[in-house]
Amino acid sequence: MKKKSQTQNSESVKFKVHLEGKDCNTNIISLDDLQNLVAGVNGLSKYVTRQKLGKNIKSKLDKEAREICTLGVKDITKGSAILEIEAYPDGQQKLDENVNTEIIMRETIRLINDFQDDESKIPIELGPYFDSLTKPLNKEESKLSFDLYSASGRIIVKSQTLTILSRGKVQKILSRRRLEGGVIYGLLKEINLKDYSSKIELFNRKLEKFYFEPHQWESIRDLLESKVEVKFEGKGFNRKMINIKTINSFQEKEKMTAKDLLNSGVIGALKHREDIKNSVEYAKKLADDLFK
Amino acid sequence: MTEYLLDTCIVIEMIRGNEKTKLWLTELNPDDKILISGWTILEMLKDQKSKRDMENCVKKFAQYKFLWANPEKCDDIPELLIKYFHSNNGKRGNCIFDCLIYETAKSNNNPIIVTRDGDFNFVNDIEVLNLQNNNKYKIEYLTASQ
Repeated sequence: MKKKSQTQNSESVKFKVHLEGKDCNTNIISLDDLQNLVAGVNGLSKYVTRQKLGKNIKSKLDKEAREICTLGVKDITKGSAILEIEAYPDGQQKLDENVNTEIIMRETIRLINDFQDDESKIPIELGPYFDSLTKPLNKEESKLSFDLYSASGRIIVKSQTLTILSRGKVQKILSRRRLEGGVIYGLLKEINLKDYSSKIELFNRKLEKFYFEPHQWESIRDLLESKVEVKFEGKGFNRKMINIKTINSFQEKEKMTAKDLLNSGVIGALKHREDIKNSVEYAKKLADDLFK
Repeated sequence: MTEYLLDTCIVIEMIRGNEKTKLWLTELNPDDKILISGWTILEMLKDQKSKRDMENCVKKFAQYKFLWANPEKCDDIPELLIKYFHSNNGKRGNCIFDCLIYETAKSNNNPIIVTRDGDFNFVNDIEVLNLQNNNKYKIEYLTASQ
């Protein structure tokens, strides 16, 4: 978003952000809160624009879309802040005949309402934007809501109110991104008997840490600097090694079984992609895109 | 134990959670092998709209073996493409990828190709299972290009 003294534009809309229940002294809003709100709104509106245009916005068009909004702080009183974001088509090139700033910002509010109603509807890639948007909601009494007005001041749509409970919804979205278990291949580089952890070096030289049970020490100690296959479970920093064995080559992978596929967690992973109606046509599109 | 090589459209249906396709999978012997071509994986990774989701799916698939065609089999592809155009009345469809999937199957002990597309008419030396031809697994709204 770009701060700019902007003249009225017939296609512009006003997007008001109401943040309440914060320790805002008069005329001061925390820079962190401001940055997070801007990053969240910007990310969501950019996503909507991308969806509406049906492709990744690149080069000049990307610049147009990125600069669609300008931010102004409307009013800050003790304990609350109203930010006014004016959104307008910035530049000469129109985004699309059927896409205008009102539609983009209305859809942005719809996404926020969908998130509040049922976070499982929200695509995983939007997790970081909702994370930024809700970061200011760090107190029981903090509330966040959004209104969309036309340039003439007519209200178009209001959002639901987000609260500290919305932070839990974000965690649920972000947790969908983490593997819950699986198998990796790499070199066993470190064994730490202080906390019973090991580090495996992957093909990209990245080290991945896995905890193991003390009784597994016997089966691990001779594998240092060996190529290994590690079966693990758990997410993030709490990954626990289930089994470790040496392998001759990183290429020695097994074929997937029907049972493996059913238990993989892959089935239904793209359930939210309502735009994929015809798999045959979508496969053709993917094939066409591969060589682009 | 039977081996099945999934066409890209079937992989898409799996990750979209299509119930008819899932039904087919659940009715297999649990030890039947479900194979995916490396080309399908590359296609998935180029998906523009759900990059992270696709990457997560690929990460999960990556613990298993992907199938590739042997280089010498790929020498047959130009000739196959010509056959393809003749058998599909000049329609090109997904010609290169269908040929790659076919050669992948021929390079890996001829697993059954599972698809919903009729575009494998250009070959008759491999078994093709078209789920659209079975009422139990047929998706009504999907128009397969037969």
